Amino acid sequence: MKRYLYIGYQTWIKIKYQKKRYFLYILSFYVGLLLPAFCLANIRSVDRVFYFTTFKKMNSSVQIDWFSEKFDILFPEGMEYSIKAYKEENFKQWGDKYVSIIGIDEKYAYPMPDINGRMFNKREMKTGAAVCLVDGQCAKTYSYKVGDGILIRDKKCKIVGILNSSIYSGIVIPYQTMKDIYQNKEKIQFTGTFWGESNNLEKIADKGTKIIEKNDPKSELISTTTGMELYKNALTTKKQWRIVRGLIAMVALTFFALNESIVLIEKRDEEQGTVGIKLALGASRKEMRIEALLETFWITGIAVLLVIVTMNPLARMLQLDNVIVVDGVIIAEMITISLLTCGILARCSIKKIKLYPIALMLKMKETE
Amino acid sequence: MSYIIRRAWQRLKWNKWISILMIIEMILGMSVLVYAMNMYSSLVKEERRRANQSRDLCLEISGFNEKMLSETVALTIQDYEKIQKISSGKTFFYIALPEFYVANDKNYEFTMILADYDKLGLKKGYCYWGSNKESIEDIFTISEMVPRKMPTRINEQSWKTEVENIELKNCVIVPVEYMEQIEQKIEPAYIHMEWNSKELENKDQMLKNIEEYLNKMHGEVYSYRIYSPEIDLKNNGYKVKQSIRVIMQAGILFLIAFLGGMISIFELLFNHRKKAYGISLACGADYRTVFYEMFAEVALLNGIGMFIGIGIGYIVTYFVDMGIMIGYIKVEGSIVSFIASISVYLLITIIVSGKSYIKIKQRKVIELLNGD
Repeated sequence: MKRYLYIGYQTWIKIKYQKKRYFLYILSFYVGLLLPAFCLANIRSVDRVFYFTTFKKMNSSVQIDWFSEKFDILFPEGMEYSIKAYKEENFKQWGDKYVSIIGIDEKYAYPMPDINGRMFNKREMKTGAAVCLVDGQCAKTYSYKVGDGILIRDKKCKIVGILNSSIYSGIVIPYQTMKDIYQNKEKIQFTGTFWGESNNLEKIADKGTKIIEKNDPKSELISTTTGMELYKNALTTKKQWRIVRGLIAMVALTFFALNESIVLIEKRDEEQGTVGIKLALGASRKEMRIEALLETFWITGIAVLLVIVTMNPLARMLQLDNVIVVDGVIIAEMITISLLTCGILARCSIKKIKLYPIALMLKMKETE
Repeated sequence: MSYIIRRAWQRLKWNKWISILMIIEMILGMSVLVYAMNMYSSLVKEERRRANQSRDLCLEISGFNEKMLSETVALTIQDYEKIQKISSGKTFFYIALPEFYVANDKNYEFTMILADYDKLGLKKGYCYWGSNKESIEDIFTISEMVPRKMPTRINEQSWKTEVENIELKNCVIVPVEYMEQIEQKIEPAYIHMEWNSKELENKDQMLKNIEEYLNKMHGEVYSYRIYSPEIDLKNNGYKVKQSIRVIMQAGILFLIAFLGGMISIFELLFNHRKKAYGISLACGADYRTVFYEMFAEVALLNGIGMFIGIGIGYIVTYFVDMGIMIGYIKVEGSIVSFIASISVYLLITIIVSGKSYIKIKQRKVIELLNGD
């Protein structure tokens, strides 16, 4: 054990002695690991998107989308449903930006992200109070905070919360509030989610469609989709996204490994003389391999640490913070992949130690 | 100079596998960067085109009642007259009807434009044929209209819409009143109604009145929206720009990683040649020649990667649709991408060769000969 600690100490001294050179190696490792790290973090963000685009009991639900001017649709008592309204509004006060206005009811199916502030309470939902939630990006861009007012058409809504998620973009208001603003003024896109027994979903969809058409003959049906289909589509998209980003990460990592293995092999070639001396003085080839591994481990470890620490600030600087997620899972994945790469690189760099006899190594000029 | 280039090429061949690896990395980074820059410049070009349009407001018609679509027209001549009254004569209206005619075993394609003759300064009783379609005027006759050559001032015009560019020299212009006779052939997509917002008084109220009028007349079957294509594109293009920016940043990151790898590798390669450089300098070569040698080697390696990367980038731009760009925008190569790629190439080459050269310059000839 003492010998291995000594080898570790020797490696550390060597790095300290050739600070400049190892700084370049660390920088090169850092830059090479950045792209795979961003790809992995982007893959992780897909999980977050998947979470927010699916909901509980999705496989026993059916969704109907339609356009209509009417908000009041009387579904029968026994029907379990939730209706969401959607409209893209031109906000002249925000430089003619098209902002999504989403009206949700108490039974809104999809999970809500973290809110800086509070969610609507039951009274506000029921009475259609003039309150709203704004997405973080808009709040930041137009300097809104909780308590400020936003004018939606002629109605001034008070901001009660700011959404900390890039999935929700725009303004969320209670369904009844949206009704006050848009009823009978123009066509709104509605999404009705209906729950029931899995073998009864078609009947529920038919019933729902008939009620919608009866309530508003001018309504235009867009689509009817089962929750299972929606779930499968979301899953397929998530898989495709993961595959594409995984491939990019793999390509980037492969090129990084190839580049650095060339550098490390050349470096080892230069150090043949020193290695020969150490072997001649009694060190074993195993200890030389451990030394090579420790050296690569030090460089990779520092580079990975730098990547983890600088990822979020870099992402904010490059405006990529809404497409990546850096959490414990990503850190664990980065460390695992880096250790594996480190092992491969170390193995490549010490290949020749096995091949040459000590006498030949002693003849080679080393530059240390 | 040719000797230096041949030497550089020879050295690349000696380090074949390293050279191939570097070239592939350069190709990858450069092609991604060029592709992203081409897409970005196509989007910006379209934004500029829309910003420079004199008529910046358009009418959009969409049909939703499928049962009644074939029986109801989206806009009649009476609607047009009413809208002209509401807008105090500031409405620019035309219908662009694609026509296809077969005669004498030949196929003839042209566009029939139904336009307000008063607005264009044309005489009634005539139909006006564009210069490219004059040969058809005897074959395709329009009832109660004498064919005539289109005046040059109109023949040279091209009317741009969101999805196409109508060149009037390929068209025949007929009076807008003719639409009553061919109502059933007119689909909403052929109808173009435009305004110049600067000419309109009480713009918001006027546009609201027009929308309300049209919805009142045909709201059972069609929905009408007056919008600004420039603002539409600005909003629709926002997410596209984000995606393009991500791709561009990936390309740049790849090139930075490549730069880092290249610096390390060439530092080692040039390190191995210290003695050779020492001998060259001792035999009378000057530092400038040594620099040219290093520069030529790096430039050749990067150059091969750069040109292939640019080529692939342009091919992907024109022939591959990754579903990122808005459908109606034509994605084209841009000279800016080419210039930017050359700049990146020069920057990488100068940094890599410069760094290695500085190390050689800092040492004395005797140190280089001793391999220190």
